[in-house]
Amino acid sequence: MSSSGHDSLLADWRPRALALESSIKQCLIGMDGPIRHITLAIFARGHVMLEGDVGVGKTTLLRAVARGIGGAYERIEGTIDLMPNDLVYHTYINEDGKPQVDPGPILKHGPELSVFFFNEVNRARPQVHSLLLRVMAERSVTAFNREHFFPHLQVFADRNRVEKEETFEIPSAARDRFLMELHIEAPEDQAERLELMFNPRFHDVDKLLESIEPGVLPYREIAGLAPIIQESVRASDALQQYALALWEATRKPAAYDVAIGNLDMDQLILAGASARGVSMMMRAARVAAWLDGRDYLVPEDIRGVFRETTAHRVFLHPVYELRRSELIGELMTGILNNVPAP
Amino acid sequence: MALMRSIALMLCLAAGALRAETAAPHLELQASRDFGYTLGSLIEHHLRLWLPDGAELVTPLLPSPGAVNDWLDLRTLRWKQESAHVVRIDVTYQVFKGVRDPETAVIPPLAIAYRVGGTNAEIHTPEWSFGLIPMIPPATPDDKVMLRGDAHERQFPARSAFYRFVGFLSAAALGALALAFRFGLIPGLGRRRPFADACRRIARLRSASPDVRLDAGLRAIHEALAKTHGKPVFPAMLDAFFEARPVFAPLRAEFEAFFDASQRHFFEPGAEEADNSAHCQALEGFCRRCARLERSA
Repeated sequence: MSSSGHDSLLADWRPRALALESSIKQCLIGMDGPIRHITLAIFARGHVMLEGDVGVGKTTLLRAVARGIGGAYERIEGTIDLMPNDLVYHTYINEDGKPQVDPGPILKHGPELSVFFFNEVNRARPQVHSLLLRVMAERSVTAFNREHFFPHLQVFADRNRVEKEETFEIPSAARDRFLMELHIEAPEDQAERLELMFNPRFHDVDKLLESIEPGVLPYREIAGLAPIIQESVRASDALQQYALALWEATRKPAAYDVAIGNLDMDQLILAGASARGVSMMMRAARVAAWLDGRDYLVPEDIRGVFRETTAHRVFLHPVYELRRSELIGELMTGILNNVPAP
Repeated sequence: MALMRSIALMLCLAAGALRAETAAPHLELQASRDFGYTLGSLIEHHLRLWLPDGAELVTPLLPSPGAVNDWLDLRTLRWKQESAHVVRIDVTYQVFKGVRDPETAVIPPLAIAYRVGGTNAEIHTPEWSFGLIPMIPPATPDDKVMLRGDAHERQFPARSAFYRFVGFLSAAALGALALAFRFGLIPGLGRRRPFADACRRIARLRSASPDVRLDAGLRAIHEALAKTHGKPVFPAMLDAFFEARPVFAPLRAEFEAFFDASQRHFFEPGAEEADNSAHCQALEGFCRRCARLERSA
């Protein structure tokens, strides 16, 4: 496709993306940030890990996204006895009394699977994580002696952060495959809280989601659009230097005068953001620039996704890992506050 | 004795005026005393030489410091023209003669050269006798002489010097503190003036090309903003910046224009400015206005 063809394609898609965002915002109040980030993830073709308390709207958010994107939506609950095969197929005795094997949640819809939601992923065993890793990385799985492909698949996972018993922490490699890790909270605003409590519109989720126009985004075309967005949004030298400095600061925060209380910053970081991580950060930032109507990046595009795309890729020294939720936010804020641009 | 010396001095002074007008030169010698000297003593002679009209002292021929004889040294000789006819000469001798009993010694005449009518001439001081006394009691055998120990070092009055030193040190420290305060080098103290510094940096670049000036100027102001706010300031943070630093609020529109220009320059590929020189001047003016507000804060 020619450059002008790309331009018109991007111009056509941008209002659709904003319309999806807008319609989801009407269903979920107090979630403007997560909705924007999920929109970015959709067009960056990245998977998203959600983290938050029970009943804050994670599932509603994902159902709204699935309805807006269109395509098939599947959900599975992570449990300690869940095995990889449970995602691929399930066996039972049919009405004729014969054993039958049917496709599981991943295979059920074939290549039309659009959104796959893995709830409480850290309750599942590492074997299940491995399968999920394969599906996320390659958008394919091997079953019944052949490869099954899911070109439109977007994985959302939810991690239970409250309970630690009978949970299996997601391995670093698996966390690195997620484009973003979003923290979902109940709204802080009093008016929004009252709205959620007393407006019956928000009490019937099924009815609420009906207000979203199905298939606002034709999901089959997103995979083709995503690389065009990445190619059309440019990064100046100054911007590249800024992004590089941010990456460097995740590895050596002390070099940028980032300080957290009395912590020895040289001992805090075990591993900074990975190369894959920062490339995902830039993918999300480019989508942000496109949504903002620009064909070039500005620092705000990166700053807007830095925490969500990078925080879960920075690994702290084991002695500090137990205080991760407390420290990582301060670290990210410190980096953003200390790295200048230009 | 003192009375006699005074009378002699007055007579000499009275006669001196008359003699100055006479043709013959005349020399008079004054000494504090002519007794009580011992080994190592200094003897000071004050000479007054009257010279006739047209005569002058031949200073290169004046006696040089050094040994006069085997027991007498000439230590110093200084001269001063007191008037047209009178020259004052101060001579210091040192005696190196040890005696076992009091005796009289004689300082030999000293030749003072002068020139008159193109001819060199000399006038001699009179022989001068003085009494030498022994350093050890009389009739004391050598083996009974007890050597006196070395003299203690002289105690200089150092307290005032110490006070002066402390005073100068304090003044220097206060000066250094004042400079550090002025330039904001004391963490947490002093008036930091990042915009004033940025203005100086921009002014130093006036001879550079407009592209370089614009780039460096934008960076300098970004740095000044970051130093003022304590962290880098991005366009979305302007409200927080003005809330924390309301003194800059009157320049809100200019700040927004600055960020627009910065974004175009640094991040918008291919966004060439039509006239960078004009932008540089505007930038310099903006920086000066910020520095003025900074000073008034």
